[in-house]
This record gives sequence, structure tokens and C-alpha cells, in this order.
Amino acid sequence: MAECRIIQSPRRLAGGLQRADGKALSLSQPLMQMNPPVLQLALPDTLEDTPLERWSIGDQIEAGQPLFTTQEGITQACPRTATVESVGTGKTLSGSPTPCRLLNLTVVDPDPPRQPSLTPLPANPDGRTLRQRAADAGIVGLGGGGFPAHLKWQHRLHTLIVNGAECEPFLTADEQTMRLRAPAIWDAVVALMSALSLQRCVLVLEDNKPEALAALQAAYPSVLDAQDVCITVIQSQYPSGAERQLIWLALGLEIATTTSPVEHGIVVHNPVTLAALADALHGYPLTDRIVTVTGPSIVTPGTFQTPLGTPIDLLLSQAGGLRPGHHNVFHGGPYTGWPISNTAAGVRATTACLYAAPVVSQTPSPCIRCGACAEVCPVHLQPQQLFAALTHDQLDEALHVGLSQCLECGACDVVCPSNLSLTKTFQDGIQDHQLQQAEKQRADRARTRFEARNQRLLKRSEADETRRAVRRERSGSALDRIRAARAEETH
Amino acid sequence: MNEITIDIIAGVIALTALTTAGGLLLQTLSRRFRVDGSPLVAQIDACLPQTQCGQCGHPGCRPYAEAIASGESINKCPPGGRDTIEALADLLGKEPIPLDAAHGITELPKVAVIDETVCIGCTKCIVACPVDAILGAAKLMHTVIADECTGCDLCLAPCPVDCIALVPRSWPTRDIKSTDSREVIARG
Repeated sequence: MAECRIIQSPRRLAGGLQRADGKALSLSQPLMQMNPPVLQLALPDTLEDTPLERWSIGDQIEAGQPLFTTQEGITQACPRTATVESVGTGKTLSGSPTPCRLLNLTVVDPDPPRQPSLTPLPANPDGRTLRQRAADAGIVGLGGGGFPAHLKWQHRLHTLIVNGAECEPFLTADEQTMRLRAPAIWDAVVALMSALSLQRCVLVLEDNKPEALAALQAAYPSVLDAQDVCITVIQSQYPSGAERQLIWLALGLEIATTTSPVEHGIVVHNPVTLAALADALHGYPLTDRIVTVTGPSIVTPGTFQTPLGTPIDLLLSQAGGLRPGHHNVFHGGPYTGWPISNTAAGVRATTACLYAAPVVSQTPSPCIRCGACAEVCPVHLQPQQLFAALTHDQLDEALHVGLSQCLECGACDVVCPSNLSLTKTFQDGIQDHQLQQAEKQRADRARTRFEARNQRLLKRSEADETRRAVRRERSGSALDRIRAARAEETH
Repeated sequence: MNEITIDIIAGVIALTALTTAGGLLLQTLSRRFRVDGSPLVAQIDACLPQTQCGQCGHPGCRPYAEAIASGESINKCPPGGRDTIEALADLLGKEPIPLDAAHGITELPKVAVIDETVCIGCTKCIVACPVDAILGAAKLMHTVIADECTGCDLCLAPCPVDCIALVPRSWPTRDIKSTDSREVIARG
């Protein structure tokens, strides 16, 4: 039996939080399968045709059949055999003012696809085949980023990091996947390493996941013996699972925020993504994902194997529903999650966790300059300074003191004694900056077009002028000829 | 000739040679790296929103930039609003002043839309558009390339059938900031 090297990372994050992780809450129950009677899938805005042009109401779509392809090339498969109930616009999960297009399906067969809808790939596929398969199977970053996996593999890569840190409290989707699907994760690692000719692979875990570590070790395949593969155990600390922080903890490399890790040849994948990729190799597109439903307001927290598009309401009631009282349901964990305003909407590929907590009315009081936020900031920012700049509408100043470095991890919010919503302010600031940049690009384009038009008008008026001059000359000479002819006649 | 005279002559010759060489070098460099037009105008132009609407009284943003460079007031650009005034004040070392209401008020950026059922294809709006954002031909329907439209409203007046309307943009835009004088923050 092969043994995987286990390394204890000598590094630890500066700042960050070490809090009770609350993970036992949802891990006390075994993984449960969701069988929703209806599905609601949000269609991307960039989609050119509507599904109604392909299907009419009442049509049956088989499980695994492609529904639509996004601009990035990601094909979403139909999660279950279902009939088209309606297509319309509706509210998104976050309840943003711009409505999104929705595809409502009534499930006919609650079982996941039994037959692979894509042809199973042979062992050791090449890079191109693997990229195509990931796109066709709809493999996106299931840790929460949702970035198409195949786009990351376009770069020249040498290192694969499997991000099993799952540092945010209460989140357990990654841990449950590593416990239950360790062989699939290793399969995907083997395929990725040979297809992309990677030199090494580091699987990073926090030290609060001994069961996952044992499962991964037990499933370690001997084919990887000849390769540079190891499991690195890091200290549990939030936010060690943030991409750049994780790379530093695993490899000791610091990646500038102006570049992305793939440009340096390092690709980071979540274990859930890798498990989905392993299924894709066997011909099963992404139809389900594992969702943790947890938090102090949930009656029986647990992890659920959930078809994409399962209504959030249904998932919450499967977890025993919410306790009496007022509660907020967050998409994501307690620190990075955002409130879901429309719980009738369907689960997305990026829905790793639903976290419900009672509504606490905390009135913010003025900043007392205690500096607690600066102590926990994992990227050494001075959140109080950023906050002061942004509340005084000084975006330039905020950018100058490092707004664009902010991870939006929420650690400063947790420790702030004045209950200031620091992270929200920073997110708004970053969004405002992005809009400003977009405006600037538009302005540059408008300037180019304006100048091009002026050039064209100038050229045209010059051409008109020369044509007129030529005509004047010609008509002048004609007049002379007539005068000469008349002069001859009179003589 | 004694030694001192020789030293003086050698010094004069050496200094003359050095200064001549330096002068020639500077001249070639100034020719090679010559910047056409005033760099200040380009910097001012970069602060302006490039709406090309003419609300400032100039035929476009570049002409207004030239006017500002030669001393015109910086508060005549309603589409740019407070941000533009503050950027210009920063650049020129002036005090930020409130927007001159005589030139209009700051509104959310808009985009022109042609009611294609009404359009008669007269091409008048195409001629008026400062950024060539209207597509069409004589007696054929026209349409606005929304992505290129600056919302300057110059196409509205020439339209003989009033089929053009300015509508809010469908993509996210920045909030406008108040141009109230009390809210102008002096920086630097």
C-alpha cells in the first residue's frame, strides 16, 4: 500500500481568526440525498437564444442532456429528467434589481443520471481532451468562485494545489467530499497531472480534519508514488483557504495581487471540483453538488447531495427548517456569505453552504481607533483607515492605502467592537472602483471615436475644397474659351 | 606663451567643446522625443468624461480641455459632475468649485434609443452623433450602438419625427455625487 507524504506547514498566517469552527454541527449527520420535485435554473445574461427556442413548454429533457452553453464555453447539463414547466424572468438569489431569466422544470425521474451522457474518457487523456471535457461537463470552481476550470488550464502550469483548507467556520462541503470521495479526488489529480504534465501536487488540509486526512491517505493511489505529491497540513486559521494565502502556506510563495496564480504556473482547485471532474472523466456532467445547510437557526443541520436548481426553501425544510423567530439565510458561510433575499430561487453550482442565523440588530457606533481590525487583517491592511476614506467618499485615498488588496474575508467585521460593517463598505468601494475603471475605458473609446470622426470630417472637407477649386479652374477656362471665340466672331 | 595662458586656452576649448556637445545632445533629444501639442491639454482631456455633449459651450471635450488650459473655469461639465471638477482641481492646483448650473445639472448617464417603428431613415441623427454610434443608411432604419453611445442627446434635436429617446443605461453605473458646494471636499 502506498503511503502519501504528510508535511506540517512551518508557516502560519499573520492576523486572521481562530474561532470555534462549528463544523461538527453539520457533520454529525450522514450525507443526505435531495430529491426535489421541481428545479429552477437561472440562465446566464449573456445567453443569446432562450431555451424556449429549443424547447416548448411540456417538453421532456433527459438527465444529462445539455441545456445551454455560456460564453466561456461551460455547458450546463439538465440535472434530472424533467419537463419544461415555464420560462420567464424572476428574482435572483440576491434579489438584485435586474431580474434574471429562469427555467422552471418539473422533475419526472428523481434519480440522478444512471447512464453517462458523455462518452467516458480513456485513462490518461491529453490536455486538450481534458479541457474540452471539463467545458462540456460544466466543471466550474465549486469552492465558491465558479470560475470555469478549463480556462485555468490554458496556462503553462507546473503545480496543482488542492484547496481542502475550508477555513471558514460551519462550512463542511469540502470536508464531507474528502471523507466520502477521496478515491475520486485522487483520480482527478492523476488525470490532471498527466494531462497538464504537472511536476507536483500539494493537497492542503487544516489540522481540524483528521477523518478527511485518514480517508485521503487510505485512498492514495500507488501510481502517484513516482511523482512529487504530498499532503500539507496547516494550522486551522481563518482565512488560510484564500487562494494567495493558501499558496504561501503550502509553498512559501507570495503571489502579487496584480497577477493571478495561474500566470505563475500554479493552479488551485477545490476538492469538490476535482470530485466532479472525476465524474466528468467517466462521462457524467455536473448535475449535483454537495451543500452544507447549517447555522444556529437550522433545526437539523447537515450536508446534502443536491441537484443544481433545487429551490433553497426545499433544502432548508429538508434540514428541519428554521427555528421560530427572525432569521437571515446567507449564501456561503458566516463571514463571506451574502444574504439570500429570494429563498424560492434554485441552488447554483457555487452554493457550497447555506448558513442561517438569527437577525441581530446591531447599531454601529463610531470607530474608536482600537486597531483590532488591523491585527486580524490577513493582508496587513489598516481597515479603519480604509473605512474612514470610503465613508468620506475618498476612493482615491482608499485605493492608495490598499483597497484593492482586500480579500473581503470579513475578519475585521467579526472583531470590530463598534459593529461597523467594514467589509460591506470595502466591497462597495471595490465595486465603485470597478465601475469607475469601466467608465474610464468607455471614455477612452469615446475619445478615440470622436477624434477619428473629426479626422474624417476634416479630410472630407479638404477633399470637397480641392474638388471645388478644380471645378472653379475648369469653369474659368471655359469662360475664357467662350470669350476668345466671341472675340474671333466680332473680328 | 607661458603655462598659465596655455591652461586658460585649454580650459576654454574644453568647456566650449563640452557645452557644444551638451547643446547638440539636448537638441537631438528634444527633436526625437518631441510631444505634439500641449501635454497639459491631454491631461485635462483625460479628466473629462468624453461625452462630447457640448453642454460646456465647446464642440466636444478636447476643445473644452484646450479652453481650460488657457484659463477657462473648470465647473462647466455637467456629465462629469463633482468627480471631474475634483480631478481637474487636483491637476491644476485650483480649489474645487461647485458645478455651474447654467450649463446643466449632473444626471445619471443615459443611452439613446431609436424607436425603430417610427424612424424614417433620414440620416440626420447619424450626422449629428459625435462618436459615430448610430448605424443606418438613407431610407433605412437606424439604430444606436448602445455600447458606444455617450448619451450626449445631440441626436434628439435633429430628428424630424422625434423617434429618439434617452433611457437609463441597462448596465450598472456609478452613483452621481451631489454637486452641492458644501459637499465638495478639498484635497491635498
